[in-house]
Amino acid sequence: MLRIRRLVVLLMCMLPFAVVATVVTASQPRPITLAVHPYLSFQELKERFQPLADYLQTVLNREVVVRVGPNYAEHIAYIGLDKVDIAFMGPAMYVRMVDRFGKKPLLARLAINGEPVFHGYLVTREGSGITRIDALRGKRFAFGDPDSTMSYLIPRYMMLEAGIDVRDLADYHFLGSHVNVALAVLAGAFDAGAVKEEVFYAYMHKGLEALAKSKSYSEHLFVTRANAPEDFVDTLRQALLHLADTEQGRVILQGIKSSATSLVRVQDSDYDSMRTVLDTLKQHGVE
Amino acid sequence: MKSRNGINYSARNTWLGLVLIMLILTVSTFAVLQQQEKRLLENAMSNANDDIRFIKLLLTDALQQQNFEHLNALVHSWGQMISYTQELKVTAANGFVLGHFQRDQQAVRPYTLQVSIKYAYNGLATVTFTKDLGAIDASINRLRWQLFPGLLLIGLVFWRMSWLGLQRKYKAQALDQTNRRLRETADQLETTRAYLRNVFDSMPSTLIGVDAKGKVSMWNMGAEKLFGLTPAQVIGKAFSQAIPAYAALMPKLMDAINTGTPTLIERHVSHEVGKPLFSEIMIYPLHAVGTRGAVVRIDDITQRIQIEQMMVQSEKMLTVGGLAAGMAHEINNPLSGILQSTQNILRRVSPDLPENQVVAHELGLDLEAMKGFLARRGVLDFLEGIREAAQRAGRIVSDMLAFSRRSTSEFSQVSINELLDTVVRIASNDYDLKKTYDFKKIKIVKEYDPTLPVVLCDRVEIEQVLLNLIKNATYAMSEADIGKEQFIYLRSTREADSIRIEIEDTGPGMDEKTKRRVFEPFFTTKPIGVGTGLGLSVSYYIISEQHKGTISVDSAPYKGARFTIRLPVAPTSQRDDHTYTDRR
Repeated sequence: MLRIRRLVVLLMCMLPFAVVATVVTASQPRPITLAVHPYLSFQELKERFQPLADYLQTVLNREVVVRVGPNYAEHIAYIGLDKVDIAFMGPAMYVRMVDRFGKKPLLARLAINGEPVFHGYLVTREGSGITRIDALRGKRFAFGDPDSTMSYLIPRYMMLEAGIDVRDLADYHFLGSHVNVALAVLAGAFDAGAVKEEVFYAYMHKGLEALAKSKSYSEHLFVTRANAPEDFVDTLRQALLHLADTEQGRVILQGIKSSATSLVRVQDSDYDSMRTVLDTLKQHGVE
Repeated sequence: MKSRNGINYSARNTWLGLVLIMLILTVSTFAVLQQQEKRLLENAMSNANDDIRFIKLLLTDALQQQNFEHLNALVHSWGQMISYTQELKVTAANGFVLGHFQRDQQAVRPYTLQVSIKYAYNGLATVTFTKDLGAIDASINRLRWQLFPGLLLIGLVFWRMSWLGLQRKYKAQALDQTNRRLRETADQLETTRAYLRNVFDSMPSTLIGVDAKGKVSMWNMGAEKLFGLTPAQVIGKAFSQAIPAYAALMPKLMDAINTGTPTLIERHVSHEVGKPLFSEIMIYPLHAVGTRGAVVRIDDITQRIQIEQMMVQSEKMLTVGGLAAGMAHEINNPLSGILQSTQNILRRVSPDLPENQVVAHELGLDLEAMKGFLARRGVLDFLEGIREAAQRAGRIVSDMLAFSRRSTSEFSQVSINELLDTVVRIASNDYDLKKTYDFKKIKIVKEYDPTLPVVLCDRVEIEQVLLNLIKNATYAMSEADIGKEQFIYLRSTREADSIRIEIEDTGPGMDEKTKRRVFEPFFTTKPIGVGTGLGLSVSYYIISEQHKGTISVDSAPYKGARFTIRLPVAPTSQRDDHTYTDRR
């Protein structure tokens, strides 16, 4: 009996501390999550996006952490389910996410060399004798990543437009990256391949030749969760749109992509051409 | 280069040795360097082959996985990582360079290897790997810089060691030569010294060396024998202290040393050894450079003196002999007269003679009565005594004449038994023997061999020997009168080619020492004035030298003494009378 009484007294004594701890914990805001799809290694992406996280932390006066998803699907699911506050994603990924989870508040899209769009190239090496897309029939073709917009989806669309399906090719492989595709073509491992614009330019002088250039497609973009407060969304959007106003901001941008010059306004219709591509591909069984 | 030791050629040799050593070492070093370079090159090539095999493995993996993007990064990272990679290039089958790493620095010793890697669609990528083996040159250079100073140091050390070794060798040789010469000189000196010492010791004289202060510096065997002192006992002592008996010589010795004048002391008498020692002393001063001193030669002339005395004695004896002969001759005449007269008296008083009867008848004298008267009055006995005495005196004179008659030996055939009898008779009539030693008390036992042949000898001399032996026996037995009957045994025996004569007495005998010296001249056990010590030595001389026989003595204390004489039996042809000149 005496023991129970003592225990009660002890708990009564500890109660104020527990209350204070709870209040303190509740008063601390949750960190802002900046999610990035795994198009590079985790470490590389952390290094590229941490300066932006720091910048946003300053603006928002809240902690911002970088999160790299294990794969593209999980990344899409996290955004779709509003489990992250800010997400950086490619155009095809955005279209698929909207198709599945609905629209999200858009913040800004990248502008490369002042243009918020980008192109893809079907490439071959100099002297290959391949001058038209339909000449790819019976040739070996190198794609990048199956989830990659410019090294797979757009090239498949371009070939379909030209009446070529992968079945018409002698062989095709996914080589993982745009650079790998360019090098494989240059090395003669493949007769042709698909690369994004900047890679084409990088290897053009080494003998890479453009077989065809794609239409313009809207660049990568930043989105936020659907349930984000309006002022939070505005603050974020303004912060990103004005990032390139300062030298420090431009450095942050070039840290993410060396050719990025600014972040510009974005709207969902900017990705309609991409929707068309994906729909067409879907009709041909490419998901 | 002239060395202090005069070993000029050794320096030249060592310089030549140095050049040779350096040459050998240089050639060896170059060979080592070349070998090392070859080995390093082989190692580097082997490493390069290993490297390219490893690179090929990596690149094959990348190429087959079509990971072209990372190929260049791989090439760069491995180009950086692999030491001394000058260039690493991966070229696709179409000539496109998939990866290329090249150092800015120019290769010193490029070594290029190429391998092919199969990749997609049977394409062959070529990997060109160039390694700069210039590190070998650096290594060789380092080795060269390490070796050459070492080489120089080794050469110098070797040269220095050789030089020191040569110096030591030549010094050792020089020392050996010097030592050898010193040894030879020392040996020569020792030989000379031994020779001189031998000469010094072999000298029959007593030689004593003294220094300028009169201290004994040399002492020969003669001195050791004469004075019974070893060199260790006398060397360094003053001459007068070393030989006190000769202390009186010290002034003369010093005088001779100081004046440099040889000094002769013809006769010096001392009693150092218990008997008179006569010596002739010659002091020779030494005049050698840096040396002053003298050599004292002491010649023991005792024997010479004694021989001189003996000769004097002999002369006396000869004189006495001559006198005796003269006296005997003079006595013999009246003695003949006495004997003849006595015989005539006896004959003329005898009644048996007819002429006596005629005269007695004429005078009316009865001869028988007169004979009775003479007999009763003992006249005839007196006369007979006179006759016997005269006869005995005649024999004595005859013996004396025979004993001392001449200086030449006469060998004749002599019967030893008769001679022994004669000697006994002489001895029995010898005055000394009769009066002093009572010879008649001694029983003479004769054990003669009746078949003894005659011997060719000098009768007189053998007689002298035998008489001397009997006299000595008589003297010895009378001196040690033990109250019992004394005997002298005279024996004669025939041996194979000699006659043995023994004269044995039952006297006190002799101890060993006396026995050993019994034939020495002037050795006598008789009191001074009684014996000359010449008897037995003369006897020894007569037997051994004159007759080629032997004489020996066998005796022991209280066992008597037996003298044995062996005279050779002369061949028949030599038994004729011979006369030899007396060699004495």
